[in-house]
Amino acid sequence: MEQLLLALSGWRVGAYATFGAGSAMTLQALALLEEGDWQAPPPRVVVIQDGSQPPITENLLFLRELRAVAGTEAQMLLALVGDPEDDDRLPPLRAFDFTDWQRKIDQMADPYLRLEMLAPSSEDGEEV
Amino acid sequence: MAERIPQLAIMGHPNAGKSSVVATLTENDRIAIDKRAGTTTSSDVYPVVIDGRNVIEFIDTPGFQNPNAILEWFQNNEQENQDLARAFIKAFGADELYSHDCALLEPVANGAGIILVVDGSKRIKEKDRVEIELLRLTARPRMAVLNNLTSQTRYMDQWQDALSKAFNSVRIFNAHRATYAERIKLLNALKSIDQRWEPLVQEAVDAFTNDWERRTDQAVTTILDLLKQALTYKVSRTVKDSKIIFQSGRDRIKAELTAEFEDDLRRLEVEAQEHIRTNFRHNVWHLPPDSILEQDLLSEEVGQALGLSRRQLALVGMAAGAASGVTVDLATAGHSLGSGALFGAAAGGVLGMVGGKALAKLNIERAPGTHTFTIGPVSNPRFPFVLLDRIVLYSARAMNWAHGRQAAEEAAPNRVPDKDVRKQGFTEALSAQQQRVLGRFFAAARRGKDSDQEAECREIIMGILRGVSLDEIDSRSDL
Repeated sequence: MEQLLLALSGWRVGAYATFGAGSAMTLQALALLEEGDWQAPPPRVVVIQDGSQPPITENLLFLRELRAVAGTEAQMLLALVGDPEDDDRLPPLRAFDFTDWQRKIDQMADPYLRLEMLAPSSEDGEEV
Repeated sequence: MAERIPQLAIMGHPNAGKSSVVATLTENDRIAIDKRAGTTTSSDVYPVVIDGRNVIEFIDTPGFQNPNAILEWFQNNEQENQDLARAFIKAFGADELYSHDCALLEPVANGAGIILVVDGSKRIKEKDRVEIELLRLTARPRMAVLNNLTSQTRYMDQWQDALSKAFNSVRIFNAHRATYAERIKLLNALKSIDQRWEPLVQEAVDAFTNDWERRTDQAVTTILDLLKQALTYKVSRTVKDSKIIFQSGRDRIKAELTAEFEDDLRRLEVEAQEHIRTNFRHNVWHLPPDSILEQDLLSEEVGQALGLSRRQLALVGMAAGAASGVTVDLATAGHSLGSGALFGAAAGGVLGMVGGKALAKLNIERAPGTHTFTIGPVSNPRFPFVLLDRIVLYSARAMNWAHGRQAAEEAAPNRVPDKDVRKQGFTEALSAQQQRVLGRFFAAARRGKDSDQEAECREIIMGILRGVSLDEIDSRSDL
């Protein structure tokens, strides 16, 4: 994952937190940002998300909470992956699912939030 | 007070196929189904209306938007509230953030049972476990539907295990492929989710079954009418002698009359198809281009794929007293019902011509100063069986084509595959006795007479359609 992230953004992972299963996890993730010692501001935050599940309010709310804690100019990258398989935990996302997320993220109008696929899609950009 | 009927809220997270399930169960292909997530944004009620009366209602709900927050609230308030769905709406009804979730929980708060729809082709994720648990906490009668639209079955057992712990019933249901029999099975299973619901659901199932029987009977009437109309049909034209002095003039009249006759047979079939499609409530109707139903009724391909075998036809012909026609059929070994054959007939203009099998005969009557050209009725012994097979094939598709299939990804690589192609029409699989009954009915119909075989013929066609409905006879959906 770190290699894919490096290739995508040039960033190295400093710390990580898991989210998505309740408010306790969310608070831990937010605390990580709040308590983080950012050596080269602005903060850079990457959210790895299973994009095969459609975006719902809960996902977007989490991004807003991250933004509120990380600051208005923090660079945020939402990196989507496809439905995990046994032999590939971070498969590329279907183009159709990506478009679904793109619509929602565009609506957030957050200039420092970038949406990407973590793993490169197949050559022609079609579903894999 | 309004009569109580079963109400079921169809739930699940976005894109699980909720709208497809509702469309199929209510035979409503006008329900908006969009492959984009979140197409359904409000709870819409879709009743099953029979004889002007709602017998059961399905409520298509928006997907959960904040499942984790709802579950946590439910868990924190479980002790104080018997009715968590109602209490949640009371607490968050005015909060915009939870507007979709409140719309989703509203029918549950009002007493509706729950059908959770999950996509069985995908592995169970944390969000799914959250939804399963929060629906369990509502304490409403609930069924889970594993809507697997693909051939990916490796997660099905895991789903069954997880769902069985929290739901009164778990059913596998492909909303894009479900036949009438599968729909009835699912409705029957609803009886088991709460014993108090049993009489109400049984009433709905009975109403649905009776209505289906009535619609099937109506389809048989349409089929018999088509056969009678097509087999007695004739076209005539009277022309002045001066118009046909030259051979070219006669040929033109024959060609025009032939085209009219063939087009009218096609039109009769199309009209019958429209009746049947309406009868089974299809507004959206897509056929694959290679379907036999997309080919011309009078084409070689249709003639070869449907109808009786030559041997069967010979036996039927003898029974129906049409041996001469059958002799021609055997002699020519052809199946063509197309215009070429008809021209052959027109040129010969006599019964039992050799060198091609005629669809109908051309008759020319002379009167002082005029000629009357008449084509018809159909004399080809094979044609009525082909026509019957094709309209039964159409009916089978209308009966068993799931209304939720409008959004199916027909080109998806892992979709449920169609069955192997079985190149055999319905009439070919009937018993020799049944084929003879049909043969006699066709022979009488050609003469424009009422046949004492009609009642038996009706029973035979009804038997086929019933068998198709109950998955006892293959629908030939691949033809």
